[in-house]
Amino acid sequence: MNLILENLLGRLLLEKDISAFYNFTDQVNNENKLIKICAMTSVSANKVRCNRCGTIHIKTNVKLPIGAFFCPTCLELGRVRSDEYFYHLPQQDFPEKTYLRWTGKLTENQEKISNALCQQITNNQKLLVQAVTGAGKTEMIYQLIEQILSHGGSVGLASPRIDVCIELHQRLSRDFTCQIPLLYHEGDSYFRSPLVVMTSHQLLRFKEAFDLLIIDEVDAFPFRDNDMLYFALENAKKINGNLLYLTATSTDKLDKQIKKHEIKRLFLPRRFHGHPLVIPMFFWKKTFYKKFIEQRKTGFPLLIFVAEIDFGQDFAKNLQEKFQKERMAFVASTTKSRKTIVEAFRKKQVSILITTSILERGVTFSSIDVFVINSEHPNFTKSALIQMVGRVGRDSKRPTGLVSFFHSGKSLAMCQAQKEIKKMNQLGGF
Amino acid sequence: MQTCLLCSRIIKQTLTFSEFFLLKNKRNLICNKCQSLFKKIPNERCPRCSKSNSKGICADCLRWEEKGIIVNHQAIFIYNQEMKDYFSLYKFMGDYRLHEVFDSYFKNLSKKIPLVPIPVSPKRLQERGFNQVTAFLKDRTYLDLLEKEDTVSQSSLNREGRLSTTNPFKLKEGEKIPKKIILIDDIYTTGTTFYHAIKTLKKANPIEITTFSLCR
Repeated sequence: MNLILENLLGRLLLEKDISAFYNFTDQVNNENKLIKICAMTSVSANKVRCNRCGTIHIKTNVKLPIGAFFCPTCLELGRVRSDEYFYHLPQQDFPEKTYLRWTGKLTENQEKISNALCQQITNNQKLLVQAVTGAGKTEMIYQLIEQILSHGGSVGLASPRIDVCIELHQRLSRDFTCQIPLLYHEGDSYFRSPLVVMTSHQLLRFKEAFDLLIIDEVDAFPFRDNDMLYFALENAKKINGNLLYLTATSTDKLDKQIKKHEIKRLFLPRRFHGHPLVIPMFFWKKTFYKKFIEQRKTGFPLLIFVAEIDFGQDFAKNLQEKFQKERMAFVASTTKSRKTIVEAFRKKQVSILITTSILERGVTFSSIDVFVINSEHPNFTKSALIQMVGRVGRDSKRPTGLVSFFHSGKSLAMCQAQKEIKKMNQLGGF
Repeated sequence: MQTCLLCSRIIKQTLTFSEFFLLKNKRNLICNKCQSLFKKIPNERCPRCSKSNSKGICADCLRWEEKGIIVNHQAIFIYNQEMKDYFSLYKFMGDYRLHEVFDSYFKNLSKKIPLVPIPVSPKRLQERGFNQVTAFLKDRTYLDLLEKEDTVSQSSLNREGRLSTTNPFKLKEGEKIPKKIILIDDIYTTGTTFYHAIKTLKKANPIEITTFSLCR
């Protein structure tokens, strides 16, 4: 089979996407019997739907002067226009082979979940694994992936966070023998493989492609309750394909589906080292300096979360002026040397790291403490706070730690986060 | 709830008393932070082409003078990185909605002198789906006097390449040319585009032309 056909199996591409890897002509299209799908469909007299992301727009808002409509919602993947077409070929099976080369051992709790997953993922299933932060989610899905791949199926792994995707890709490439593409904005170009890792937006370029689609960190922005991305999920999996959500905290939307029995939930309330989660403590904001000095006496590295970039910059500057002997750094999504700063903190060259919510999940530092400033800020949702708490005590050398929320009036999210952590500990038998 | 078209952050909408009582709805399309990153050209500028931070007539304009051209150009914003990002989203990614961010600056242009936008080639118009200059002039009347042939885009060329391009413009047939016009473009970089357009227009009649662009 030639390259163009291979790259179109189970995918949904515009002519300009295809011409990036192949000289696309009408002849190619006719010879290969590609399935042609209208890029946008009129759904009523004044509304039009994008067939890639499913968003419905009011026609007058998205009309171009040449008369066609366009979709602003999924623009970053290349503009969809109503006078264009998508091209698609139905997904085909892969050779039945075993790809897993991981030889590690699961803990008893992990194994329970792993077995349950292998039994329950059959046809058109939706499952949610709610595991506490630091439970070792990735290893638990290996058996399941292997089961699907060995039957010639295909597995997609998506996450809203690019850092999470990169780490997942590293681990899977080490533990599976197949070449795995890592798809993200400006990432690898696509090549056909039974196992694909991507950011959630890239799902929009697939159609009925996966027997199993795994969404890691489903509670993270921008996935959380984003209709476009839920549409993408349903579209990217095969009609009888399975969905598996992995998360530390559930979202309102998922909770509703669980109540209606549309999704089954499995709990893993114990961390891999068997110690409970640290319970956050609430303090008034003005006690910050007192608590800060107390914490510095212990000598453990400190991660401080702030709600906004501008505030964080000023805060970091002030703190550095007050405590000139401490080595501090600030990172946000806009910081260019983000990787090196995070690495320096990991190596303890920097002892205090001030950060926005970009480091709330997917990163592991050993034996740190966490402070959250202005924890009542609306940017700090329940799941964000739970994730921040989850940065503490990840190492079996120091499975405990200190988490303090500094607030000027408790928010609902703070109380819910604390309650949920206590509940998970209870479920874990502590 | 409105999100910023450039950075997708939520925009805080504030309603003043007069807006409330007079039912005026001023819609912010981009957030204050993004708006503040677009810098207006300071008063210290080239008196001929509005190039910022130029004491007296700038080197570009002196070069044009050697070719016998006295530049008479007005611009509003500095073409900085944020502006480049904006135009990349607007022109190259094709987010047509973004014309609304700046079209108020085109409303204040002279009502007496006819406005003539720089055209795009038919092929580019099909690809992009819109002309980025006439989109800014949506609420104004303007005269389409010029036509453009398909050529390599100016933005893909370097300075030398731009200055040496052949004239891509043609006069539209059967159009009556007024005595005085303002030529409109989105960005002024070397001035070559305007130079070609002016040459084409003046070939027919000795008319008075000033030029305007959003950025310099």
